[in-house]
Amino acid sequence: MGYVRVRDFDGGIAEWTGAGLPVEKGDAPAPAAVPSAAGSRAPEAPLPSRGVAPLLSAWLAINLALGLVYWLISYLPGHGLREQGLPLGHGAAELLEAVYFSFVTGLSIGFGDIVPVGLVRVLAVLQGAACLLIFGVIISKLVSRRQDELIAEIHRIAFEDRLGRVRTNLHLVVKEIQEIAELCRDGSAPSSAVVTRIESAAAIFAGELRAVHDLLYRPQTAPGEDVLESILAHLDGGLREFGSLLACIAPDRRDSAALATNLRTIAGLAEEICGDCVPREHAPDLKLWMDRIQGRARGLGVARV
Amino acid sequence: MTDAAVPQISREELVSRLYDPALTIVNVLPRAAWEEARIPRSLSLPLAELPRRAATVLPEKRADVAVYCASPT
Repeated sequence: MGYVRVRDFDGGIAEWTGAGLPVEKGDAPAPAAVPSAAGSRAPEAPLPSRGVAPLLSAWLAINLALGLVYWLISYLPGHGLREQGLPLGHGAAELLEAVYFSFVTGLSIGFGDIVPVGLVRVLAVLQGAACLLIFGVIISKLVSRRQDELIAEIHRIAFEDRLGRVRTNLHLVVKEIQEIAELCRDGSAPSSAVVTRIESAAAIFAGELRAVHDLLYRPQTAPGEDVLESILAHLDGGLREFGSLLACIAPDRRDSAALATNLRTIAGLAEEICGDCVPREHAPDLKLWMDRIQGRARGLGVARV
Repeated sequence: MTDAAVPQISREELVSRLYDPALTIVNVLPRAAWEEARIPRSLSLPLAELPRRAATVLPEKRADVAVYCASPT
């Protein structure tokens, strides 16, 4: 069928649920994004959990544990920590100094007031490397999360802008269709000029219809239902006006390549808009609008693409 | 959906890309099974409707798509 990047999740829903992963149920996908001020839902998905707390905890635990290890190693002759050339003692204050040394090493600061000797040197180098690595991962996670948030915000703004343009364009094209219908009825304009305007209106209408079709067939980019209802109402009105306009022009004029192509596109796309054929369940009012749109598409009497 | 043997996607990759908008997840089970339980964000495209609706549900032929059914076949 021409799809080149399809892969099969062989385990299916059985493996997914068996692994205790989350599932969606019911006939509508779970809401996936934050409602915007305009009542639409942007095409963003919830960001996966990327907490840095576990990494920070690990970093703290490593430094604390190694502080204790350094202090214990001081019991071995020739190993441990030295301050001003003298070995550290074994009291509680020395334990705190060992922990202090451990954090200084973990942060790659290295004041030099306490120096490792023997086995502790190796451990301190490994600790420095490990802690640098963990810090790198933490920073990268913080930056990545911020980038994801910014990208989601950009998508949201672009999406709302697109929704606004769809509504505006539908309104303008309906107005244009009504004006053409007036010209057509009173016969004040040459037929060729009317057909040219119809071709132009049909091209814009087909473009906006494709945008609405995409909204309905991609649940992750679906707008809020109130916004969708408004768009569907515009679309229904546009198809109604378009149908009455087509009655104005002689059938042979419909054969112009541009008009015929756009009419087939309009009929084909609108035919696929109905309450039960879109992949997401909607409120009854919306389904009603969709069914009306499908009915109007069939009423155009144009063969599908 | 392709003529050759379909490559596999692992569960781990699917989990990591669960909310990646570039990946379309498609459930090819009947609609009732889709409603009963599905991987989040899955689209419903039952096998029986595949020839008729594939082009509308998956208009982009070069998009990343992960398909799944009930269990290993």
